[in-house]
Amino acid sequence: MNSPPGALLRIENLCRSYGGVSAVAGASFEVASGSMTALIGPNGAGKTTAFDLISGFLRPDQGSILYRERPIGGLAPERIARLGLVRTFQLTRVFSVMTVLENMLVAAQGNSGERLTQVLLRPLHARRGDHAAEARALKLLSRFGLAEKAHEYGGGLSGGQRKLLELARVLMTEPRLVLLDEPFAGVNPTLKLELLAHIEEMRDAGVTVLFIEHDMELVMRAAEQVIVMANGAVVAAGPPREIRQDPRVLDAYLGTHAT
Amino acid sequence: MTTLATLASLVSLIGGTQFWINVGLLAAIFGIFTVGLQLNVGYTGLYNFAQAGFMAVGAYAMALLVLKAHLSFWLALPIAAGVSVCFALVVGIPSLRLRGDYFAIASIAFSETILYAIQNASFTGGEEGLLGYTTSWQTLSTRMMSALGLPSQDFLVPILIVSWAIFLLVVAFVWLLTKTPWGRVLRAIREDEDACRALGKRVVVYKLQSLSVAAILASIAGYLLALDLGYLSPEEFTPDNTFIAFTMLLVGGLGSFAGVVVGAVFIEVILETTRNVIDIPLSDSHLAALRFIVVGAVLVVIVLLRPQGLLGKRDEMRFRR
Repeated sequence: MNSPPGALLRIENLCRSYGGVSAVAGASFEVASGSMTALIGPNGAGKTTAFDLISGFLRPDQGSILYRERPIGGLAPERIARLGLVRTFQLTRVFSVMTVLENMLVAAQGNSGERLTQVLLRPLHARRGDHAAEARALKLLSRFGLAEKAHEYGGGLSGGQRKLLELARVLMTEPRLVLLDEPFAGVNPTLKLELLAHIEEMRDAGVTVLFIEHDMELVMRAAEQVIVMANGAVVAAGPPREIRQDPRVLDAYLGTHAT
Repeated sequence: MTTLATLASLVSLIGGTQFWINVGLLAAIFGIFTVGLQLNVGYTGLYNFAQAGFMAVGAYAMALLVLKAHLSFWLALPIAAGVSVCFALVVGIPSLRLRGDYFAIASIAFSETILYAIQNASFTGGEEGLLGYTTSWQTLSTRMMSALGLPSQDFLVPILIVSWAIFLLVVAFVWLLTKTPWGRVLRAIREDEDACRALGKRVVVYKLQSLSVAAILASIAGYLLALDLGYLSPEEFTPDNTFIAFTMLLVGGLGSFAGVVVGAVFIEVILETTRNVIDIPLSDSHLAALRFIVVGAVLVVIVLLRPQGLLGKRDEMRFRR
């Protein structure tokens, strides 16, 4: 399979099993640079496991993960994140006993004040890195409608606000590729559109987006490319219009030939 | 004013000066010890039960460097702290990659292992312990006493002053550390380790740093205890010390450094008054058990009435999982 030069992420024959159950069994797909790609499939298809493998939270048993032509399979999650490949989780992971602003500041990369040696050697400069980060964080927070909450605890936010904060926090890392695990799950229709607008804005700013989603209407509307997984493998990939007609996709979702 | 006067007369009624010097000394020593736990438990979410072990390693390494390697006492202090940090890395590197509860278990096991090693090794003096490392300190202490014009029965006052000075410095220093971006990452790790890794933070490195700072503080507490006692013996370094420090931490309040000061004084007052002051017709072993029952009861009452501890923040408590 020849890949177009624009592939930012290339997965080949990815496998991972837990105690005899193969969650991902030979999945191969690509994510084009600058695209917004949806990863869909029935429950248990292996989507979240694929995310865990790509982001380093699980080690692949087999197969390769190339990010910017560089193999990253088996690297620690923090190393992968530092390469600009940042993920979110299915359930929001907001730092509860920290303010919203602190949640954002933790996500800033390359802050020398986060290094103990720097703090001990140059104590007066410890907070220097925060000044620039703080300005950027506040700008992002106001874009996401969270500016007023900046000094409140993350634990006090509503479910929707947590989703917004998590998205803003990912942007704070200045990522190149983001993996969003069900960013629209459990969110009301209005907020869904708001989140979508933020994600599209992110893509327009040059960030490549790969997201897991169950709402087909939303996928058809938002994604440029759709990857369909079933039983741990990719059964179809292509633009949404083609995917919608694909009998293999209907098969995967319904379990039988829908003829 | 009248309340102060009553308090003063009450203080002189129970115990007397020597008794209160002793309480103050132990509060400062175990306060320093507990500041390390505050950094680990309150800020990093790291349940460190090895603190008594690190204290033992620091104190014994200092004494052995002075007695066996004939090093100067002042040079032995930083080296012994370094030895304690090495032990912290040995416990931490394999177990901190695992889930938090594995580290807690490994740390208890470490503390017990150190105790058995000290009891049974010949170079540590076994149950008989070690003596004779205090010469340099005695010189300084005598100089301080003549400078302050203290009578000879107040020989513990210099160590009391030094211990409290170090305690307050350590509280200020670690409090400032937690205010830096470094401290912010520690708190984020306490909140959600995986989210931190997903944001590019090297969680294991931060945990090891937090643990190393705690090991250094445990060593300092160990030196001061060694100077206060004048000898080293394994029975002073049982893991009980760690559990007492945990009650100080919880009574004072998780996340509060002023709480460590209050908790340390509060618990030492209870421990020492039940030991020495109140005349209870019980055997020594019964009395020892009673002290811990009293401490336990106090802890239960405080957790029920003020779950955030005496100085903890209530709204932080609301969001803790």
